[in-house]
Amino acid sequence: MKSLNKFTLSLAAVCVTGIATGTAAMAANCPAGFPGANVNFQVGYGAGGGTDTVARKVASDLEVATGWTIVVQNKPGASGGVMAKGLLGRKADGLTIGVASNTTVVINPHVNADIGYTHNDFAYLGTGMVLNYGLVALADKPYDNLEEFIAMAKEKGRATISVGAATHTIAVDAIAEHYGVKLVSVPGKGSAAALKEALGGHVDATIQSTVHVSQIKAGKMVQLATLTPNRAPYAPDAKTLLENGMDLSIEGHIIFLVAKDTPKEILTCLSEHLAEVTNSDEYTKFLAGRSAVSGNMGPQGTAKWVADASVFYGKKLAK
Amino acid sequence: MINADRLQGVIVLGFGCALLLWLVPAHVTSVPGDPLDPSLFPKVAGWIIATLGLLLVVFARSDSAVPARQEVFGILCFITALVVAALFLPVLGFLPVACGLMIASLLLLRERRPIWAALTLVGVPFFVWFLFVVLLGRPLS
Amino acid sequence: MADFSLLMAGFSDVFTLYNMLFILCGVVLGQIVGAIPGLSIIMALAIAVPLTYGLDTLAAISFLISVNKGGTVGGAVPSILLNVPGTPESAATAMDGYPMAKKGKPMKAMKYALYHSVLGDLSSDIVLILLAAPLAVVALKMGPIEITALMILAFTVISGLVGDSLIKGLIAASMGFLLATVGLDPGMATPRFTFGLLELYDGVPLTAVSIGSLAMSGVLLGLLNLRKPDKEQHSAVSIKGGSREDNTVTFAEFWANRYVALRAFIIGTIIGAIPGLGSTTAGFLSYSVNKQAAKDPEAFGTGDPRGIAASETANSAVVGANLIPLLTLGIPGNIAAALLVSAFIIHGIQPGPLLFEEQGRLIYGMFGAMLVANFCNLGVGQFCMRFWAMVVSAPGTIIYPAAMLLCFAGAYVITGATFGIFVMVSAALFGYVMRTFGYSIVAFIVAFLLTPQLENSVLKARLITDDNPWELLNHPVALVLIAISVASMIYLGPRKKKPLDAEMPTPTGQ
Repeated sequence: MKSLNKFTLSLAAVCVTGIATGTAAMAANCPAGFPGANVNFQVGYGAGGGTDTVARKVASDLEVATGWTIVVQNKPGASGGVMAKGLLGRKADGLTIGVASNTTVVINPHVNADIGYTHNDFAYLGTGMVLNYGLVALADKPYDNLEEFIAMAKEKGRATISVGAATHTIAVDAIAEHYGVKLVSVPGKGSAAALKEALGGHVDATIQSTVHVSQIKAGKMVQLATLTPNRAPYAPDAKTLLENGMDLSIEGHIIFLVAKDTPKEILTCLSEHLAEVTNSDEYTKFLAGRSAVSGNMGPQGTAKWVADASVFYGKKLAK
Repeated sequence: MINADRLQGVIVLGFGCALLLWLVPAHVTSVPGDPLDPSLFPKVAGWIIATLGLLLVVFARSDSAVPARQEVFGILCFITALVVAALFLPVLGFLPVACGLMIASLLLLRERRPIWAALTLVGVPFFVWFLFVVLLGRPLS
Repeated sequence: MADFSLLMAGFSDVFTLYNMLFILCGVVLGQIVGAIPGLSIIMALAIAVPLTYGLDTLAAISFLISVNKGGTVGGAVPSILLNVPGTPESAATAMDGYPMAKKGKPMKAMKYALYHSVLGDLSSDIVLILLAAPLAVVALKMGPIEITALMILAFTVISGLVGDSLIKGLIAASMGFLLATVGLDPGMATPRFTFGLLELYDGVPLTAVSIGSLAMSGVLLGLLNLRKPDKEQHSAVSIKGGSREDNTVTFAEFWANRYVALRAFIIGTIIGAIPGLGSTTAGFLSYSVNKQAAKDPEAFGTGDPRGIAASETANSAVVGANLIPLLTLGIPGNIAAALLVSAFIIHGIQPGPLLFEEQGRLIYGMFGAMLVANFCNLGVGQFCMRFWAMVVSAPGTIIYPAAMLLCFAGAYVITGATFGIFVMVSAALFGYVMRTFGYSIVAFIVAFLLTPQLENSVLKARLITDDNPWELLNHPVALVLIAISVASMIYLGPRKKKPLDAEMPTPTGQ
């Protein structure tokens, strides 16, 4: 996955230079007459969540950049599964764009028998935000890094980790297996609920993807380990799991996808416009407000990342 | 004449038993003893429902109300109209379906005053459409 | 500690014509959306958030908060006039509001609702402003074990809502309990009762169920009444006429409900401060507690102003208290608060522990806006209720079909698919059957709302304690809550069965 990340960076660099030199609005190559109707964004999650916020921001920036009319609809259910399954039945005209998470395409097909799609059924336009997965704990707990945490768990016989979704237990189980210690995942409804248990001191640590950043900045929490492949800018001292000697890194993305048979030139048009938005100063500033980056991997990068991640989770979840 | 309460008790008891013997085993993963056991709450629900059904059979009251046949017919008409409208919504779009639903209500309500009928038929669907689609930007089909 | 000069600066920021205008617009929009069945405040907020992209931050936040506050007032109107709750949280208001309106006092009922709604909202805002930080700490200390105990207590309180037959009421509640288990289970994420339908993975959509069983079943009853041969009930509720006394609420009448309002306010604030519950639960629980605490519980449900006060004060108190976990911890208490978070983020502000330090002036400005919005609510409410009363005086043959179509469209929008409509219609049919045979819909809905939280808390508690029941001894708060549950079952349960309590006619109020 490391090489993949370098690829992401270089791709982003190319896009940035592209925008810096050319005129922004003319950057994308679109077929004549496209879209010719409203473009629909179908968000796989409910209104008000992280994916929804990002989708609406991209939609509004895209409207400004292109002059298209974009209708944002929420199709929540089964971690984006309801939306993705609905996308399969749509005409592949590029007018319906799904906004999903990595769970939608790389985890759902492995865990749910009723899902009826795989990551191969979609064409990918790019990604909109990197989720900063980290293992974090209250600052006044007696451990500040993964080693100390594991030592505590060994001494006590077990440690509890609150997670926002049942699928996050993959990371907890992998850490437990690696160190030969009993770690208990305490599943809750969403990251905010998991954070509450950790802040109240009811569990020993929690796995978080975005909201913990402000807690760390305030000095209320510490990052024990970073789950993403590279160290997090907001917690430069926390080692990644890879650095801790584990063969595990978990990355989350907000993914933009369309039906698989969408014509090539429309895919080019949409993904170039998306890259234009995600690389803009305006969008970068918006994400900086949430201590996040877009990390847009572009169409090929996303497709490759999704394929790799799907193999990875397929193995982990088959156990 | 069978006591209505007792009959309901039998139905509830039957449903509770169906839950425990068939629905939960067939549609819920069961991992007994594990704190994560997904079937715990459904099983508890099954036991409670079956027990309460039995209690209702035993302690049935004689004075429970039964709805008039005409009322049941009316409800079924409206429900049918709504289901048919929902089925046709993706095919025909909102405005035609809404007008159809309004015609059905007017017939069922036997509205005879032409002005109010026209307002219900045309004004209401347009108002709802305008509210959702234009003002709130929420597509309706 | 609050910095006084910062506080004054923040408050004075609000008092510009520009900000006032947005507060007023927000309140009006909220009251209208709240009063229309099928349109939810969540929907209004989700739509309003993008509208605020271009505004400056204080105006944007003030606008959104005003929409939320307006909605809590607006929802009561159709509950009272049509027995069709405009928002799920105002369903408890219908239980006494509609009978009171039927008795020819619709304006009086709406005024009771408005005054108590504003009172509950204002008081919980003041609590938020003065006590947010300590309350947030208390709420944090409520772990899964304490929440489990609290949920058990809430379930025992349902017994006050079961209606005539205890057994039937409990059957209704257990059906709600069962329905709440549909979807992926909280522990292992395996599907339960989903029958291959992906749409059911996140559970039966709550809003569609509440629109169906609360609003739509009311609409169906209204439509049926219109079909009856005697056309006297042509318009839903007669607005005109009535003496002056029937159209106003005197201060003495308002003051008579002070203990009811106090209990309701406490319940609403506690439920609001704990993330994950919500204003519908608060309204019903407060209604039930106040009914059980009353000397004459039978009076509830016949148009008793205490019922309106109990429901409206509590559901509005949630709105202010909901911001406690949001502002102090960055944890949104419900969906409305989550939408506020996304508005904050869009304006470059990250809610969380640093919020007061980094954005003190803005937060005090927001507090100012909340107080102003409450008074706007009072003023706009006075005007709006006359407007709605006029609308409702149109023939029922247009009002009820319109309400039906609004529920139809609203249910579609919730899921973005006809699936929502089918759930809504099924819930309406189920609601009708329950009403007809004397099963309490309210007990059903409350159990449906509480169960997911109960199941999740039980699960967490078992994992955290490693299934060791003796751990409970280390959680005195949980023990106290369980003791109260047992006491309320013993003390309040049998008392309900003595209808002779009512032989002394007691005046309304205390």
